[in-house]
Amino acid sequence: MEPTIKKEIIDILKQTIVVIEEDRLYKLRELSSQIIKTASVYQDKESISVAVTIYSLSKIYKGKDDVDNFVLPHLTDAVKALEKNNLIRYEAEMQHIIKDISEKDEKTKFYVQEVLQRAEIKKGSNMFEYGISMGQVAETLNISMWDLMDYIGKTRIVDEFNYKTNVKSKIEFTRGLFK
Amino acid sequence: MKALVFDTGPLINLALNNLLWVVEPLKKRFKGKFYITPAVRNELVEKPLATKRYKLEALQILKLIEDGVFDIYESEELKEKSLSLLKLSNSILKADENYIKNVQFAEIEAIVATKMLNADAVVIDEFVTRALIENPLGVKDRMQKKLHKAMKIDDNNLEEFKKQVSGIIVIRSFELITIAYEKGLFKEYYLDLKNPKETLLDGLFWGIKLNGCSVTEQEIAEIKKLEGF
Repeated sequence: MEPTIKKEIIDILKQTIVVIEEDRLYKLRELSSQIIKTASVYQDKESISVAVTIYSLSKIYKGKDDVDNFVLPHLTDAVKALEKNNLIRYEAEMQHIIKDISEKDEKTKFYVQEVLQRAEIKKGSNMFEYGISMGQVAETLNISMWDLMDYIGKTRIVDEFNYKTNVKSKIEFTRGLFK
Repeated sequence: MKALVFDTGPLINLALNNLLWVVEPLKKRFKGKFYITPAVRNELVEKPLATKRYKLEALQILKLIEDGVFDIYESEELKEKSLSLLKLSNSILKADENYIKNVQFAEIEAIVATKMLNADAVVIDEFVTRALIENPLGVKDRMQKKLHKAMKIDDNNLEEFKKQVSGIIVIRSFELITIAYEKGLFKEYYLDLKNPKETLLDGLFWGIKLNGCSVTEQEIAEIKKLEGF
């Protein structure tokens, strides 16, 4: 793992632990947005996975009472493992967070799957917003281009690009092709 | 021979809007060939056929391929040139001394096919690929602003990229649908309403925008004005 990515992930996970401990769960989305910027530059699976996991937690946990007891220990152990460069242990701890939540009961399992899927598309749309093409985003996150287009179309991202197209000349050119 | 090459996005867009039927009459009026590349076909057909959600749309696209509405442009040279241009495209922008992968193989393959076929245009709905061809510095500025990071341009690679994509014209499903409207292909939707044509145009434009075509609200307003609304 690139040292810059490692440093960023450790920092984000430590902040995640603090916001959960201090019951400032609304901050989780912000942390997820922060790490997806790193993911847009490096397109590494680790920062993408952290962004998706934290965003999912922000959707699953509405208040402190919702937070499962195993979440903080997993996060703490993930940080420790990463600090010791133990990537296998780090990945296992991160994977266990969502796995343990979804295994609570059958109903939760489907809900968590849905949240995860939506989180991936949401984070994909962030990457597109930052300048990564839809195809590249879909490939990097292993999500469907169809889902991504459907989602991005409903956002204001393209309107906010502030990119001037000479639409009149494009229409005139296209008309010429169909004469 | 006149030719248009399609990227993945425009056909996903038309499929999501139940507008794939418009491709065949448009092609007749175009009097040329419509092409897709193997990687685009994979995104449009093979991948969704392996899922549940977009299987039906994939079948509709496959039917257009089997009926010869779309030809597949395929060659070893296309693959090699696409891999080479992909490498170049993803070696233009840098942050933290790291090249940023802005685009993906299927998008680049459509561009290379356009060049190799000497096609009239490439149809791309996706914004970043289009911007990279039309205004690469705009992509840099955008990334810099959004990521709050200093972005560097590799000038040599940018110059080479510009050279390789020079002369390529990008249009979108937005322009194709406008032409289809002008050619009267949607006549049967002039319904008993107060402003039937304007309502139809609104429906078409917003349908394709909301399904991912990179067209802005302002562009929709501009074209509506051009069409007399």
